[in-house]
Amino acid sequence: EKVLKLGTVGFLGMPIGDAIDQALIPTLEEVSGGKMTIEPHYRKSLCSEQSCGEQANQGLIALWTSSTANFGNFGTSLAIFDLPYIFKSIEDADRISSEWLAKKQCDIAAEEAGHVCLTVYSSGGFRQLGNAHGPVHVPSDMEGIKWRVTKSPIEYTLVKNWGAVPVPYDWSQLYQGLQTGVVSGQYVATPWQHVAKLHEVAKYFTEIGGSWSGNQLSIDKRQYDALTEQEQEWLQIAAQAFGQKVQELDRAWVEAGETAIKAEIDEWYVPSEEELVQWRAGAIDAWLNAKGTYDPQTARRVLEEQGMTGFITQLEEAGAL
Amino acid sequence: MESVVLLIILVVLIMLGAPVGFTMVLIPVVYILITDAAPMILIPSQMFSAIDSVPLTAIPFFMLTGELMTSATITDRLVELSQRLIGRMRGSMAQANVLVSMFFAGMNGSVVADTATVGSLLVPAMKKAGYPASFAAAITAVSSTIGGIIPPSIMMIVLANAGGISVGALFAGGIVPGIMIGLLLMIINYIIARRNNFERSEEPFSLKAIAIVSYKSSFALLIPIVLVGSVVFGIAGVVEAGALTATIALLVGLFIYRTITWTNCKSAVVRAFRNSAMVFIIIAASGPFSWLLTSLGAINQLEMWLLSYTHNALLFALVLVLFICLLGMVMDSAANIIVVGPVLVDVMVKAGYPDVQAALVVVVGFLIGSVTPPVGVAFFTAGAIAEVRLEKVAVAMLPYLVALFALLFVLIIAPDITMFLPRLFGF
Amino acid sequence: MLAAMSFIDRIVRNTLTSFCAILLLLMVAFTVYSVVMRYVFENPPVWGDLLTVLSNIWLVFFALALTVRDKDYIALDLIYSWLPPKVSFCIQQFWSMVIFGLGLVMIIWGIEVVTTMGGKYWEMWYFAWEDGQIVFKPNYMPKKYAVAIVPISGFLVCVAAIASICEDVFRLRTGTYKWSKNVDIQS
Ligand code: NA
Ligand code: NA
Repeated sequence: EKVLKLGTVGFLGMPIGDAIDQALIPTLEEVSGGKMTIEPHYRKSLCSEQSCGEQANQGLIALWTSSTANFGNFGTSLAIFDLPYIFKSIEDADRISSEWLAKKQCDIAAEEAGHVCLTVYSSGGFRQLGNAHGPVHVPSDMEGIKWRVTKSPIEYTLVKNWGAVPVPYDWSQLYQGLQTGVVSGQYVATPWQHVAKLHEVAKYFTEIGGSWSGNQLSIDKRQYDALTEQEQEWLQIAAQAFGQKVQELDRAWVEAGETAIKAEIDEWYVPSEEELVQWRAGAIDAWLNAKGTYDPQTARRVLEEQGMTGFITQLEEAGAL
Repeated sequence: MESVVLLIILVVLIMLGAPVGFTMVLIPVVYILITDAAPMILIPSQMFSAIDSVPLTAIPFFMLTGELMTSATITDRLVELSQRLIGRMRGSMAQANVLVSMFFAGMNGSVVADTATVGSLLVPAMKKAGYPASFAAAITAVSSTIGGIIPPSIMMIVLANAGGISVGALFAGGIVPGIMIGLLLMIINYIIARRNNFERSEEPFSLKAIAIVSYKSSFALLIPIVLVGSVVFGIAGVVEAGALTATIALLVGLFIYRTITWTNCKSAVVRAFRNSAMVFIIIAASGPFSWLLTSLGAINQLEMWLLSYTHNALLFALVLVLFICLLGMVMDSAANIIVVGPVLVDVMVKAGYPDVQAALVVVVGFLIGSVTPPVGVAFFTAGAIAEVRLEKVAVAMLPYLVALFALLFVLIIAPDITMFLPRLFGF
Repeated sequence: MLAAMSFIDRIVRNTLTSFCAILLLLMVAFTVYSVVMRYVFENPPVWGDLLTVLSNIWLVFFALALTVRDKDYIALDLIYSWLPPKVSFCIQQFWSMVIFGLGLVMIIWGIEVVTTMGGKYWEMWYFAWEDGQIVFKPNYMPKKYAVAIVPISGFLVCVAAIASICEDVFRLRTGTYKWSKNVDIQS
């Protein structure tokens, strides 16, 4: 019997944790006839995000989850998921990712990153802007506001291009930072904002839907190669079941989070189509800055499948495709 | 079961005089060699990961602040102020010992630094004034717990980091329990001093003298003001504020008191990094150990066991106090807070307590543990300063410790004490 | 010979102490710089907290070796005051040997940590050796560089353990051996 340790920040009661518990573990148990099992360690109890990837490489654990942005610390193979406005809607993202994009990029990751990603899925839908300063309708409203960013080059340049002051700030101190004004804005997927109660101290929201909050499940490459072909197949089947389950649960999670947030804030602004053009314009520079981390052909195919011809033209003119 | 054996071996080795930090690393090494339960790379990898954290950087900052302020002779002034304030009370030096710790706590975050600094000033003076050395050591040690409870606090930073709780909320929540402990100790002091007919100062009470020495020590207030001010006005987070207070402490010593010279500045920096490294070595050493305990499922079992008492709030509080007391007796407080602290917080949260209250109970409880014999760093330090046998110190501490654990029980059953200020500050 | 050894011992100790002191001051400097750049100039550096954390980690691992050398780790040494010096000498040497062993673990598996470390820091610049010259890289410092402190510290811990064993043996011979006072009292 083979036991695979899994490290994640996910927990029971949210999609990643529940999908591990309800799909990944039982499916693997079932298809392998009990020959392979997963030992989950939720809620950062062994590691979180990038450090889980490191522990997998060290053989301390086997499977791990993280955001696609944090996967970027091991290489650029999943960077395409982080490009702002590459997906039009949650549905498009789920469809394209599960139909071919995840598989294609994960094959590259296996070559370059030392990790075999088994599936890419959404954790909380899209990132949305939340801030304590005041209403933000167009990028120029962000001018000079200190905006918390993660240490992701794409997010950093995106927020900077919109005119805000990007401030890398520790997640564990973000609530207090927003409360006291060390930083005034943040750009995180809405259910995660709800989990961290950020809406209590940042009451203005803008639904710009730019960056998809991609997440991934991986196994260390060396440990994957040490499995028999049969075992690899079982794991892939279980991972597919996990991906589907997470997708299902994630929609409801996003909706619940957004409903709860909307009940307690001052403004939830949905930009008009003209205003969205301005938001996307800031994104084009982020694509330019990220050039080299994604394959233009692949990105073009993703956009074409969603009929985003206007955006393709804009990106072409800027030289990003 | 295996994990219980591991813990017992750890405790026995520590009681036999093994260095705490290295023993915590030794046990997983030997365990891995015997059982092959994890790759040996666990040891160096988790030692590194355990200290790889932004919030923890506040520890050296607050250590440095305290050391620089001490170099600026501010502690002497605080001692003088305290003695002026309560000199007419019987047992005035014992009372001053508590009061100084309360003042000192506002610029210092560690129990051991409090014991060492206040102790090296007051213990010799108390012995000269006729107090038994064991009593002087005892009151120095127990009152120094306040140093880690009134903010800033090293152990609150450690637990906030391990348990994902706001450092600022814990700092706010520490103020009331810190003051309560001070008052409680002073009441016990009063009773003991009356019974033993301890000294009192013959100097007349003088408002003028108090005003002068208050003015002279007023820069001690600058540290809490910078700390609170920079956070409230959004200049810096609590962690960064530590670097600001250290800078202010240096500037005060250099330009206002002009007491900081090259030599004592150098030794303040060295003491600061040494004391901070002592805490970090325990944190690093706990890394592989707690990874192993988590991975073996021991942490889960402990949680299940504690949760089985939650049906009765008073029984639960009692079990919790006894458990914290027992662990505090045999383990280092930093190790307790990292390895067991988050579990206790989790259990309390599941039992319906607010996480800030839970974390404060854990910090206060395990800080009392740094004073309780047989293993307690503040206990050792106080005994060493007073040059007295540790058994005697232990006996002298007994009434105070009973009172402190009773207070801990109250902190568990009365959430308002710990939650009042954090709620007021909007956490 | 003896004089030379204690001279080297002193130099190494002083160097490590200075390193640690400088790292502590750098931590303060990086943080104050980040705060000022953010609050006053609204242009904070990306690498502020990373450099602070890395300085702290390096400080701790250097200080670990100093702690071993000075035997000023936290321990309960009550029992040893009751034991004859010969016995406490043997126990002390046993712990020094154990620490030497742990130093070896830090070297051997620390090197494995370095070689398997695939992570990078996007925000951090670094210098690399390419085509026979030093090249400046603006991003993606390999995390290998940061964790390299573990085997380095392991080496220093081993050296420190040997040095304190030598010192204790020398003292036992000359009759000046005493169980070390482990509790640090600030002067
Ligand atoms: Na304090
Ligand atoms: Na005291």
